[in-house]
Amino acid sequence: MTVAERLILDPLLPWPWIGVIAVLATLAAGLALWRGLRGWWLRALAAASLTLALLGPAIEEERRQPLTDIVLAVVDESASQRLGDRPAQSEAALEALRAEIAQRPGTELRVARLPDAEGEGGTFLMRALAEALAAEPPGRIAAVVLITDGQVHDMSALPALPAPLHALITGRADDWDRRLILRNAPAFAILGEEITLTLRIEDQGAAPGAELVPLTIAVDGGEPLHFEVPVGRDMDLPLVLPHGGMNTLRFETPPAPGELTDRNNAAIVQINGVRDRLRVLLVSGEPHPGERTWRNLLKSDASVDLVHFTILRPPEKQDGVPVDELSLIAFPTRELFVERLEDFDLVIFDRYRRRGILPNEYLQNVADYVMRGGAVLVSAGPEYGGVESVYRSPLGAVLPGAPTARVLEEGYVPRLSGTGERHPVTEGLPAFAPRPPAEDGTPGWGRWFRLVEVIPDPRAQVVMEGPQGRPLLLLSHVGEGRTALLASDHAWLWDRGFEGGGPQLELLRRLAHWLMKEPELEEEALWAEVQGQTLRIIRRTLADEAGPVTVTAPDGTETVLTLDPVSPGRYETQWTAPETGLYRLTDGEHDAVVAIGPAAPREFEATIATGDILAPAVEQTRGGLLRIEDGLPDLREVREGRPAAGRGWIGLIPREAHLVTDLRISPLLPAWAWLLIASILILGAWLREGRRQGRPPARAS
Amino acid sequence: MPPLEPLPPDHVLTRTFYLIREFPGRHASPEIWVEAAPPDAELAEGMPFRALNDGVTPVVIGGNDWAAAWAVDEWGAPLMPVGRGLAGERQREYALRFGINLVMHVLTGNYKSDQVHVPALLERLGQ
Repeated sequence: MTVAERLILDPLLPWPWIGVIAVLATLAAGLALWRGLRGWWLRALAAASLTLALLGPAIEEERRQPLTDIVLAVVDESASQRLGDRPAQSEAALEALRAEIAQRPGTELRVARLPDAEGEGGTFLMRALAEALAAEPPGRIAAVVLITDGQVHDMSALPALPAPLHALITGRADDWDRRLILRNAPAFAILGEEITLTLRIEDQGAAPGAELVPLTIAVDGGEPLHFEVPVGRDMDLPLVLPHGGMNTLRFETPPAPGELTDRNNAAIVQINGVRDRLRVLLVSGEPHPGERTWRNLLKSDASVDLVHFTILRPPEKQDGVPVDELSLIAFPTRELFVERLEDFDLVIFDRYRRRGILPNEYLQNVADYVMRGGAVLVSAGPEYGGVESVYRSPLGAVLPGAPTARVLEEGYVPRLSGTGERHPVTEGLPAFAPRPPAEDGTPGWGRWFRLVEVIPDPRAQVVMEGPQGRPLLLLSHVGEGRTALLASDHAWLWDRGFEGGGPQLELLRRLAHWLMKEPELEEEALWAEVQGQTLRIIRRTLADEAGPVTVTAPDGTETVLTLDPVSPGRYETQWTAPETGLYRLTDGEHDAVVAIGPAAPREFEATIATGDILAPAVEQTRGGLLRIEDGLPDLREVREGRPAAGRGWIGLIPREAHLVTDLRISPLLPAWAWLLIASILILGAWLREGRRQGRPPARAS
Repeated sequence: MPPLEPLPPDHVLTRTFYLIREFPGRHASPEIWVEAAPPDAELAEGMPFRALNDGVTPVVIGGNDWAAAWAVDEWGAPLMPVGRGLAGERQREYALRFGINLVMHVLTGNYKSDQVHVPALLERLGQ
């Protein structure tokens, strides 16, 4: 406790008044001097003492309590600070600092810790420093010490510092790290068009100087491809996406012995494959009421290029009308079925009957096109059961159902089969019906009135059924391609709202997309949706149960999860991932890769400890930048404005801050004393002047 | 009832099966009304026909008494006389052609409208 005193003025009147009084008093004293009054100086002193009294001189007495100096330490605990022995280094440095400060009376240590930023933030050390500074009075801060690897991502947020800034840098001089950088990965790519990814493998720090390193590329969790690639050079990687929808590409270089971390050795990129245009060839065998349904469906989709041919007049019908009075054009069969067939994504035969228009070789061509990965949909009318059926052509070998020659003409409500309830093409379709399902499970849509009886192919899946469980919609995987058979041409009744109609648009849309291998409509699929840190793992299957899924975390730990059925053919579970990175899912048959957060977070972009980023800020305050590896520094007191660091020491500025506990103001003299002084002076002046007046000069007579 | 307009010369009804320019029945008035094309239907570049509304006109109005021209008895002989002599038979033929076009229009919609794009589409497929 110390006491400090000082003299202050506490005027009784406002300053201008006092000025006026002082001027008047000076004038009066001047007049007295001019008139030669002998007591003029006493008058002047009396006026001065009165003016002084008005100024109210007082003594201020302060009682002070000294405050400790604060050394602020900010410890970076972001992910990059958890590499190697950096946590131990940081703790050792902090302990040493704590011990040094404990030996200094009147100095205390405040520690702030910086965790990982949310999401892909990085190390926001300056923000943490500003927050810690805001919590302390700036007058008491003697020094600021940062314990970090120096990889700071928010140097622009450097706060104003009241004290020298010191940085203790972790890490070792022989640290090195290899990382994989993926530049310019697009989010979308058009199927069939080549995109270029730029890939670079970079060694940072004291790298051993390898020339070629292995690189593996895996597409959609499939078997990885192995390459040897050079280090430190941009590589252009031409790529054509294998399928529509989300393509997950994973690039990885194996961890090299001695490198800091393998967290930045992999990159995952998800590219949404978009079909440029879906090219659909629709061949209608004859004009019929359902034709416009197909046209409306395919033409309402702006991404579909529809090439439509209707056989308006078969070759055997000739009535002698001149050709120039007919609006008929030749069916360019050779162009469509030989030359351009591969360009189509889907070929639809809509009530097509063999009428000598397409030779068998052309239909064989279509069958080969399916085997090579094409898609054919047959929408069958009664002709499918007849002698002109396309089944009785080379195309029949790939179709999912053989006609029995029976055509049922009776009203029935189409139903989903057991497989159909699980199959993505028809799953949940009754929910799209105009009415809720009846109590016996009959979907709430309208009836159809025709069914071509077919015997399903052993490879085929029957997803919809007509009367007495007869197959109505059959799907089949043939070779690389897919085929589907709709054994009725009455889907248009749904379109026209007969008996309320039905979800014809949704059914045919899903059917077309399944045929074109939309990944969202795969029957057997395993995938995961990411929401923050939560993984929603979904398995869709046609089987009756789904096996457990093994999740492999980035650090190699495996977790086995069982999935719960949520709807027919769909199994799900939720799981919270412990950290960001790449997770691999497998159920033994299907694999998936999913990235939580960025595959290589910002923290791992640059992992080599460096002082370069912090150096300008440190120099500004004449602080010190030392590597912990070279030994821990001592603390010394320095004066403000002097260099605050040297070989093996860092400085702190003694602040001598204090807290005022008591403040007392007492007048220098009491009022009566001033009155006494002024009275004596006035009386003195009167006496002095009066005595002279009392002896008048002798009058000359 | 949608807005109507007199049948434009490029309407798909003129070429769904036969190419026809007039629409006679027992009478041969040229006035026929169909659903109006949407105001934004325009002549697209390289497209000789207007891209009319994708659907089918829900109504065709005309006073040509087509049903009378089409009507036949059980032996296939026409019930009503149409015009005079050979010219009349030709008019009946055109009435039937109009009828066929009408049915084709109902069944195939504007199929014939986009036939004209097929060469362009095929051209594009090769690229």
